[in-house]
Amino acid sequence: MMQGGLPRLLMALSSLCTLAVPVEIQVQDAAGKPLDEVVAYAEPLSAKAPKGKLSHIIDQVDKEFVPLVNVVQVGTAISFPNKDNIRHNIYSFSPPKPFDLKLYSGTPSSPVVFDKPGQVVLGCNIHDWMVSYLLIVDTPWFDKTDARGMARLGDLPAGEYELKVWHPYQASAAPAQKIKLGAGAASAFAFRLKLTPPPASGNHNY
Amino acid sequence: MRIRSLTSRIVVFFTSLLALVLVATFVLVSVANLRISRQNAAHELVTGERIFRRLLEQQGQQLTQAVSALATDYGFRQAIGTGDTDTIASALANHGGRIKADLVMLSRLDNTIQADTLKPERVGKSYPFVDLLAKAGERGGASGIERIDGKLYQLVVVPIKAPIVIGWVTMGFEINDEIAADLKALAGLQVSFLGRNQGGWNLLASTLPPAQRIALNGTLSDRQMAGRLALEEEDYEIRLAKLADTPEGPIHALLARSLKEAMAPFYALQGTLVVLALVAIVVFLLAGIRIASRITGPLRDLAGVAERIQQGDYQQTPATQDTREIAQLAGSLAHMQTAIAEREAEITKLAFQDPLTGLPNRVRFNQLLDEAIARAREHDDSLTVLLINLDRFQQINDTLGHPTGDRVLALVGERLREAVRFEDQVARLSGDEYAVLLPGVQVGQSLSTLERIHRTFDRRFELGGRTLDVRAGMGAAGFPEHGQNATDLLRCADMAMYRAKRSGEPQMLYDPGMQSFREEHLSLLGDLQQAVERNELTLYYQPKVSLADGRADEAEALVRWIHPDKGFIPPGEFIPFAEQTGYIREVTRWVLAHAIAQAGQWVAADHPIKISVNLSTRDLLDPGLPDQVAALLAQHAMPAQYLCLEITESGLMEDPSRALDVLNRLRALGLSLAIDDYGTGYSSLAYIRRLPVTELKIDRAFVIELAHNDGDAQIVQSTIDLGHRLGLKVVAEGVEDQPTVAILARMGCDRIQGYVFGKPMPADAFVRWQQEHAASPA
Repeated sequence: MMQGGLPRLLMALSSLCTLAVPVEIQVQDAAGKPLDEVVAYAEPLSAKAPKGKLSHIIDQVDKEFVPLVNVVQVGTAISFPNKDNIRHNIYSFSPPKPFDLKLYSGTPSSPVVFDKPGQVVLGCNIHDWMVSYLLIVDTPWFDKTDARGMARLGDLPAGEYELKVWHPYQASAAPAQKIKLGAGAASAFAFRLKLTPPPASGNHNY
Repeated sequence: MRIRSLTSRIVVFFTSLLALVLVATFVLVSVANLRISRQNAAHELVTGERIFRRLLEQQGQQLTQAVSALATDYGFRQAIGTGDTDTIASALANHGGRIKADLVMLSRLDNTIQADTLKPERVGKSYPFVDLLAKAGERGGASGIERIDGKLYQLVVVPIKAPIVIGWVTMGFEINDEIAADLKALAGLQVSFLGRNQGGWNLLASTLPPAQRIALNGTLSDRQMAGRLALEEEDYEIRLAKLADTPEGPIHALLARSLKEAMAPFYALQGTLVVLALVAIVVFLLAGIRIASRITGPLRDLAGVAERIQQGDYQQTPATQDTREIAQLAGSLAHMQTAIAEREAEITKLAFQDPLTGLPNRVRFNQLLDEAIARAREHDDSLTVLLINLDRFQQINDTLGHPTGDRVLALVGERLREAVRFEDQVARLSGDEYAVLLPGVQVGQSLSTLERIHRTFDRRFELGGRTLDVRAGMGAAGFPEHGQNATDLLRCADMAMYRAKRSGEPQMLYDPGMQSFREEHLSLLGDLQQAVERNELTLYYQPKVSLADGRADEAEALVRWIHPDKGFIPPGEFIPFAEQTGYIREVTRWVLAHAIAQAGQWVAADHPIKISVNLSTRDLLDPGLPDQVAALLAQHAMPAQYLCLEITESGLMEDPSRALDVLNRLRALGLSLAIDDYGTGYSSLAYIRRLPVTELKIDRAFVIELAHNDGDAQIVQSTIDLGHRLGLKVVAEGVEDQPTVAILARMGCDRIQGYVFGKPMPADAFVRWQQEHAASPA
């Protein structure tokens, strides 16, 4: 314990002194092809994660959930505005948050608060093909990769984190990377992920 | 109906032909149809298998869709989503019941069974139908056939999405006989599902009747993938289709097409064909009989006509025919009928008519006589038959030739025809023999007719400037007194005629006494033989007196017969008879022997008399005669110069060359040869000149009237003159008075023979007469 006193101090100092450590994560498939829409997030190991923005919107546009892949912090209230001129239902049997919004149009009066971490799959019971994947994480530092497979986790205080990526289609979870952020420490990380998209199902025109 | 009739032949032939064609057609069609039906059955099976597979696939798809629909039911998903085992189990049963699934299973993504309505005890164990699940994972749903506890199921696996896949629901539908029946209804084939395992085949479901199922179990073998299968006396074309491989072994569908059903249309066609063929044959038979009758009917009519022609009816008119060929035949038949009638008339004429005279011949006359006798008998009437035979006709023929003879015969026929009544029949029987039938005339009344006929011969026959005197002998016999039939009557008439000719009468009626006369003749032959053997014959000598010096140093030897019982028999009675029978040669030999012997005696007595002996026709044809004569001359030491042989003209005619040969050899012996009865025949002196004769004896016919008949005188004078010119001695026979002797002497005749000098007399009487004559003044 004594031997670890100095670094802990240094880290505390640096977190006070150097506030912004931008983290860049690149996700590629086995062939090196950049993967987009992959959730990347960092869970702090040394400190309790602060609360970030606790609201999210999943639209229903043209009989699809938009976006397909979502990531929110625990406690986020998600509203589901219906942009179609037909009614939709939203349900989930996923253990973190089973719920069922009756058929509605427009925006429901109260958003749904997801207060447990985990994966939630959202569906519409009258449009079987409508699906949206939601990852509820206990950290405010998350992002989705862009078309170049790059995700940015903003400014993280120096410290130790567990860096993870997730995609609903992933064949298996990529191993988490433990990172230590601080002055002079690396801030760019790479992941490889194998995706197996589900068979196309349903007919969007129904 | 006989098979030999034309109608039957035509009908049978064409009907058989048709039947043959029909049978051949039937066989060909049957064979082809049978093959086609077989092929069809096999083809149906191939198609059937395709349909069957498609049906199974469709059923799988339909079930998959149905199950998918169930699996997406929100309530169902909600129930699954609760994760409560009991709730899940009841939801599965409920929703499975909706589509009548026989089993429903729920498996998790980790392939463990979460719920199972068929076997709840399997919960928590691993899901057994992983292949199916894998397929469902790829396609979002799959169906397949599996075996569970010896039963066959169609399993459908679909994912449960909420909205992503959270598990798999498997629903099973048992494939039982009912399903097989549905498939059978759609595929049109008997369907059996067979499972195979180490133990062999086992029947899982089938549409076959129970008995055939048992049979099928017994007959199955794994080699047979297609072909024929007989089940309980029903034939099937089968095809084995593999449906699935299950952990317990492959599942096959046995598709079977009943051949009985497959062949049903073919048998129906066959039946129709048979009926059609029978109808065709019956129609053909009737039509054939009708047509054949139309052909053969007229033929039968014509055959009837021909038959009646055969029976001698030539007055038929064959019915007019509408067919050209038959009409031709009918025409030919009509012509043939006419021709046959004409020819028959001609033949009848030839057969029954004498072509020379146009009179009926012997055959016809016999017929006519028979008919006349029958009629006369019927009407109690009488009739008379006359038989007429020409005298010396043979001589006419021989000397004037046959054409002349034929003319004479024809003329005689004409004269006879003219001499009788219209109803009388004149016929020429043969040669110079004629017969006349006088119906209704008693034989006693026939004399007038006989007289009339006799008078017709008084007229001389004019033939190409030549005048001929033809005479005839006639006999008459009458029915019923002389004979009861034609043969007897003709024989009687013949006898009467013979008698007339013999006796020199122109005619004679039959007398039953003639019968005995005839019989007498027959015994006469025996008597004559006896007479020759016993020397009952005697030679008489008639002097031939020389007119130059009155000497009677020549004589003609004439045979006489003194019968021990009948007394004297004139030569006219037995000589012609001997000539007829051929016995004349014996008689001649006897005469020659005795005459030469007598002459020899006279020569020996230095009192030589030249003897003349008559030769008959037959003697002239006997080549042995000259040697016999020579032998007799030698035997009796008689010089040939004292022998003269007399021959008749007619005797020379039979075989002139042979006769001439005999004459030459006789003449060569040195004896004299004389022509007897010269003038009665028709030989000319020119002909006589060629004969080795030395003497002519003028026939008594010319001599008797010599004194009163200038014609005869001229003939005799010229004969004597010509005879002398030819160097012949001329002798006149039958001289009965002195005036004639004087005339003949004046004419220069050499010798005279006749009653005026002396009758024929025995040898001793002749010698006495000769001595008296020599003594008397010349």
